[in-house]
Amino acid sequence: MDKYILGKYVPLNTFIHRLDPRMKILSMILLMVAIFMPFPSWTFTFVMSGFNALIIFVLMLISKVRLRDIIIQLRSIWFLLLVLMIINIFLPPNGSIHIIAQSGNFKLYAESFMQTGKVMLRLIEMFGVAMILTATTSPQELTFGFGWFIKPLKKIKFPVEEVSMTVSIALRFIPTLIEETNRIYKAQSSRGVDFKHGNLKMKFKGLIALIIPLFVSAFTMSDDLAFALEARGYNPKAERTSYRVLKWSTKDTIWIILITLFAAGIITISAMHLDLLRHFFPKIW
Amino acid sequence: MQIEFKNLYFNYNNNSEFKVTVLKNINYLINKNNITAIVGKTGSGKSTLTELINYFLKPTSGQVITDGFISENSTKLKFKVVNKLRKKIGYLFQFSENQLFEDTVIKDVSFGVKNFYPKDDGYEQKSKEALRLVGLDESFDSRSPFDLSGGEKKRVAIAGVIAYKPDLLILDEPTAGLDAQGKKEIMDLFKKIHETGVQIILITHDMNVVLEYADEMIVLDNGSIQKYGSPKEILKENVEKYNLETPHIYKTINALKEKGIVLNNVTDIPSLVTELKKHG
Repeated sequence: MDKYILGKYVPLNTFIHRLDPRMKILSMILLMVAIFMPFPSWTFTFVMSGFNALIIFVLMLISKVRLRDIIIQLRSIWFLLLVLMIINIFLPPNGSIHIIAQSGNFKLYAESFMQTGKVMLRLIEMFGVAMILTATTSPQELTFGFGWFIKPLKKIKFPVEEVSMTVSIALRFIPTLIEETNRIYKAQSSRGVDFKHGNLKMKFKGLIALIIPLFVSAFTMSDDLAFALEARGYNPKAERTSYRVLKWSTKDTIWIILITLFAAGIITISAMHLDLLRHFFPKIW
Repeated sequence: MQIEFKNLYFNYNNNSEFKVTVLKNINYLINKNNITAIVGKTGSGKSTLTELINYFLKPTSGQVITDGFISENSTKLKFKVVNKLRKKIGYLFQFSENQLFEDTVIKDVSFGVKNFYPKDDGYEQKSKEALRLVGLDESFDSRSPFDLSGGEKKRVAIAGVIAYKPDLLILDEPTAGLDAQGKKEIMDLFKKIHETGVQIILITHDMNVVLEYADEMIVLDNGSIQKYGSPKEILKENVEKYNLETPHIYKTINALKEKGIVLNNVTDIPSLVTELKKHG
C-alpha cells in the first residue's frame, strides 16, 4: 500500500498533530495561495518559490512527513510534467527572449524549461502542504473541521449535519474498502489473474473481476450500516451534540497569526509588481 | 507437495516506524500428502504464513520453498513463474463467497481454468466436474451467482478453486459462518477432495474440526511455532494457554475423570461409547 501515501493519516504525536484541525485547514489554504502567487522576474520567482519551499520543509520536519513520500507522489505525475514540458517548448511562455538553440524557424527558449520547473516546484510544494495536513489530521478531525466551516450554510437550509455524517461515514469506509480490495485482489490473483502485466484485454478482464465483487460487498455493507443506524433510532434531522469537541487554544491563535503574516507578506510583495532583488541588490544585476 | 520454511521472518511495514513482526524464526517442513491444520489465536500469523506459500508476500528474511520454487526477500518474482506455482495451489480465502463476479455460475467456475490453461478447450467439462463434486447439479450452471444462498455461493467458490485441479488446497477458515450441518458437509467435501490426492492446509479456530479431519497440526503463538504433531496428542494436553478450545470429546473425558471414570484410547464418539460400555 506504499502507493497511497497522499492523504494517509500518520498517527504520531507531533506538535502539528496537536493543533486544531480548523486552524490547519485554514493555514493550508493560506499557504496554497502563497505558493501560487506570481512574481515579475524569473529569478525572483525562483527565489520566492525556494523561500516557500524552505518554510514548507521546516513544517514537514516538525510534522515528520518525509520528502521521499512526496517524491513517490511525483512519480505518478511525471507524464503530466513531460506533456507540460513539450507544450512549453512548442508554445513558449509570453516574453521569452533567451534562445538556447535554433533550427530553421524553430527556436528553443530557456523560458520553456523555467516554466516547467516553476510548475514542478509549485506542485511539489502543493503536495507537501496537502500531505502535512492529511498526515497530521485524522479523517475524523478533518470532517469535523470542514463541518465547522460549512456550518453557516445552515442558514440557507443546506443539510450541513447530513453532509458531515455522509462524509465521515465515507472516510470511515476507506480502510475497510482497501482491505476488501486487497482480499479480492489476492483471491483473483490466486485464480491466475495478471493485474500488472499482460495485454489490455487481460487487464480489463482483471479489473472487472476486481470491481464487481467490490461493488457488491460495498452495497451489502452500506445496506447493513443503514439497518444498524435505523435499529438504533438514528434520525438525520435531530439536533445533536458531538462526542469530540474542537478546542481552539492560544497556540492555534499564535500559529494562525504567523501563517497569515507569512501569506500576507508574500501576497503584498506579489501585488507590488516589484522585483525586490533588483531593488535591493542592483549591483549584482 | 513439499513446503519448507527455513529461518523465516516476516514483518509488515518493514522499513517504517510502524513495523510489526508477525513471524519469528519459523522452521518447518510439510512433506506428506496430509491434511495439515494451522491453528492459533487471531493475529498469530496463520494467514501470513499461508500467503507466503502462495507468493502473495515475500519473506523479510529466510526462505519459503514451495515445490522447488524458492521465495526469499531478494528474488524478483516474474509473473510467469508465480503463475506456474499458483496453478498448483488452490487458495480459498475467508469470505470466499465475495469473490464471485461473472453472470453465470459456470463462467465463474471456469475463470481460473481459463486463466491458467488458456489453450485448453475442456474448461467447461472441468468446471462441470468441479460443480458436481461440490454437490451443485446442472440446474445451477446457468444461474447467476448473486442469486444463490450463502452456502451455495461458498460451494461455487470452492468449485472455482478446485476446477483447475491444484495439487494443494489452502483453506482459510472455510467453516466460518456456517451452521453445524453446513460445517460437517463442507468438511466432508474437503475430505472427499483430499482422498482424490489433493494435499490440504487448513486454517481454523475449530478444534473439533482439527481433531476429526486433520492428520498433522501446527500451533502458532506470538509468531512462532509452539507445538506440532498429531492433533490427537496435542489436543489431549492443555491447549487453552494458546487461546484454543479443548475439543468436546476431551472435555467429556476430563469431566468423566473428575467423577472417577478414567478412560483411555478415546478419540471419537464410537470409541467413547465402546470404552464406556467396557466400564459397565
